[in-house]
Amino acid sequence: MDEETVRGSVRAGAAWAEVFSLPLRGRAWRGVTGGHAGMGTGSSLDFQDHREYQAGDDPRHINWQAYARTGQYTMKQYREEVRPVVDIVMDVSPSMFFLEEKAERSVELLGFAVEAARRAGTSPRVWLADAEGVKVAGWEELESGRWVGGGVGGQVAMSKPPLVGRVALRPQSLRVLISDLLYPGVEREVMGWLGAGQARAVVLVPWTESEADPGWEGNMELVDAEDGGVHPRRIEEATLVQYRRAYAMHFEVWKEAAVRHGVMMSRVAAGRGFGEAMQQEALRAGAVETWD
Amino acid sequence: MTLGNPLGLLALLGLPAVLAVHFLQRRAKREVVSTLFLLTPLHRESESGRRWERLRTSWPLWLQLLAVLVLAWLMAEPRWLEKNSVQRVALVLDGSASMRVSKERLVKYLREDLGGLGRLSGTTEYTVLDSRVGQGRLYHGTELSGVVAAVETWVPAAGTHDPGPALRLARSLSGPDGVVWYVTDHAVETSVAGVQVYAVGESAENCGIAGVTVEETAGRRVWRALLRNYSDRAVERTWRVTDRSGAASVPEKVTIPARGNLAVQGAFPEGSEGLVIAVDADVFPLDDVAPVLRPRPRRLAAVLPEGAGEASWRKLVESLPDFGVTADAGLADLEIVEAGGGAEVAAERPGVVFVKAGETAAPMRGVVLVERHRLTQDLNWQAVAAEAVPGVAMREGDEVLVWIGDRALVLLRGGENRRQLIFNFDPARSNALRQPAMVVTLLRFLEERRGQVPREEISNVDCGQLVDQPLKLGSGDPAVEMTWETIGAGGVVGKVEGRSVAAERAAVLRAPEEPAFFKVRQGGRTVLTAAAAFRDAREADFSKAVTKREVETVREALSDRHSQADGHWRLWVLVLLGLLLGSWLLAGKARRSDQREGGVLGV
Repeated sequence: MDEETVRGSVRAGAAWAEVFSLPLRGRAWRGVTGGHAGMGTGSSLDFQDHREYQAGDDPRHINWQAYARTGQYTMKQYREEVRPVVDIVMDVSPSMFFLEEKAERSVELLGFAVEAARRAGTSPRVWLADAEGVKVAGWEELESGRWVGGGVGGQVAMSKPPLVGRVALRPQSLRVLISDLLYPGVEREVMGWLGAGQARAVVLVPWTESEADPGWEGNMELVDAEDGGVHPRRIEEATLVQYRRAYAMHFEVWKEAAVRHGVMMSRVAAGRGFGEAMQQEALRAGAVETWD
Repeated sequence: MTLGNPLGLLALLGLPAVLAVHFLQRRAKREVVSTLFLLTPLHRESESGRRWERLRTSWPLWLQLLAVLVLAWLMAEPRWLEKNSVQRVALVLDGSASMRVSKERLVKYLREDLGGLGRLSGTTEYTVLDSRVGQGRLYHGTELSGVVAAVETWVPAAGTHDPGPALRLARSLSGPDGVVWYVTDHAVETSVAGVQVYAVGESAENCGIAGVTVEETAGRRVWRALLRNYSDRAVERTWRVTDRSGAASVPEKVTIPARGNLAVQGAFPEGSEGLVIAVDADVFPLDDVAPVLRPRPRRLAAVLPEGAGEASWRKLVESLPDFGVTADAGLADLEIVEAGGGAEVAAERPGVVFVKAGETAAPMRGVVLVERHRLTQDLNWQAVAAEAVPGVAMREGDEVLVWIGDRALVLLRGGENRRQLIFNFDPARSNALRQPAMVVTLLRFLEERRGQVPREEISNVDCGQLVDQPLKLGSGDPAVEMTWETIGAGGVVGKVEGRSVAAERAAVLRAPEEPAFFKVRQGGRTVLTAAAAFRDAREADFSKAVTKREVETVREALSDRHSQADGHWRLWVLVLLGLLLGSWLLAGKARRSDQREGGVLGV
């Protein structure tokens, strides 16, 4: 995937931020003053509660109608409006980019997540993670496309799960993980890490039809997208049936772990339109919202 | 339908070859995957690939298979049989005794080769002859089973002989387009055009008795046998002698050098008239035993002329083998006659007549002319010198054997059983008695006479030899009876068998074909008691026996003659080219498609 294509995909994904948004509504956030309901009281128009007047309170928030009825100063409290904190973690393992359509969809998801966070008035922090480590990437770096295929350490990562646990997630942040989750045995750790501290987390999983239902037949030389190892295999129809079952079971396990930790997980198909793919599962699962 | 070139069917091997190429050329498909970890715990068979890919049908595959079939069709040269065609196959079986060894092999080969030839025409007429004269036709018909049955019951037993007459007969019976095979066991050449040698022999080691003689030595009858080794290495054999009474000698082991001879001998036991010499059995049993009798030829008795010359005539007569003098004219088989000059000699009794001259005369002069006759054949009378004394008066019917000038020097007179040999000169005034020509002529005449004497003879003969005995051969004469006892392996004498032959056919009566003791009787009178042994060394030598079955040329010729070639071969060639072209185009298309899909190399 060349850099121009990466830039095009980032912009294409960002464009979809006009239609879809991150699931920031319906929840109180912490952060600097902004446009989203905070966890404390603030100066927004949203009424939150009443309390007795205390010295030093702003007299503009005294509820004069209540004072007329009761003779006591009662203060109106309004919801605080903050700018939520968004942490976006991008899995840059080779498996995310070895197919053209999957690579495009992954980059589009990243572009969408960053732009959607921006449009929500937040300051997203983007982390790139693979088996070698993690690092923070700025917008310029993301747009440049140099990060695709190079890995965090500049080397091809081994066939290991990305070291997302090293990402310093901010408290009460919205965590967005973009990964194909094609790693066995780490679903509890990853989902537990995302949902830690009652945080809201979203996992967007790009996938392709060729992964779910490959057209393998006969003698195959299967090259591991992670480490490049060549594995000869004889594929019969029975083998394919078992593979499809194992594939479905793999994501069932991930979904179960996500539900257990309150993480919204959605698979986003590659090879079809971005809007269609997001509507079919991500929108239904609440992993994204629409602006209206 | 027949195939002109059955080897063309080897092209069908291209079918598995094409399939193998399709199996092997379809390489494993390479694909980058991200879910390899899901495959690892699956079916064990998927853990490693196999070299043989499961066959995937494709148009190029089918076209190539069809092309191989068309190619095999073309190369096999199919031919369609003409239903009304008739071919004649004549087999002349070599009746030599050596063919006994190859008989089983011959039956096997004939089944194979004649069966193939029989399918090359609508009808096949087989004629089977024996190379021996007088054996008649062994089989004539259209069934191969009949040929095989005739060969299975056929008994070859003769010595070396000329198969020419039988081959010429077979040639004429089969016609100009027929096939004639001379079935033998050696790579011989025939003088008859259009005859193919069909040899079924195999080289084998043989060692046997090449001959037996009986001699009188120091007053004892001694037999002497010659053991011959026909192989290229020395062999050990054990020989023994069995008397007719059943008493056997101690077996004696001898070593016979490679391709060499070894003579063994022994005396006839006291009172024994016959015995059997036997050596260890081998591939050729006929020469492993040899029956021998103490021979007793018919002894001729002559009546001598009376007078001063009797002593010299007695000396002459007694110097000749099995010839003696008798004083009883009634017992004499012939008489010696001295005829005076110009005397008439009556041809009343068989005899030998010499001229007795009284006075000296001038030597005979003139060209010596010898007539063609069995008594004088190959004899040189040029050196005979005699005086021209007055001779015997000639008669009508005399048969002159030797002329000097216009004088008959030797002549025959009289019919059978009264024949006289007349030497028309005085031997006392000639050198004739010192010349081989006269002595041999005299001996031949005596042997001829001996053959007419109706007395029993005991002799040792060859197997299959003509029985030349004084038999009465008229149509009204009694039948001739022959009885024999065949000698088996180890010298065991078999039971007595016999047969009767009409007198008019007894002229060609032969000794048994296998070693045997036998007797010939006519009218209750024993004419011959003999032992027949196999003594043809040429037939016993299998060192140069070979198998030579050149059937292909015959098959091709018959196929051309009795069938028509496929007239559509040009069409098949075009179809073949079309199939190959189509296969090439489709394979290229498939290859490009595979490369687009990910590097799968199609065929």
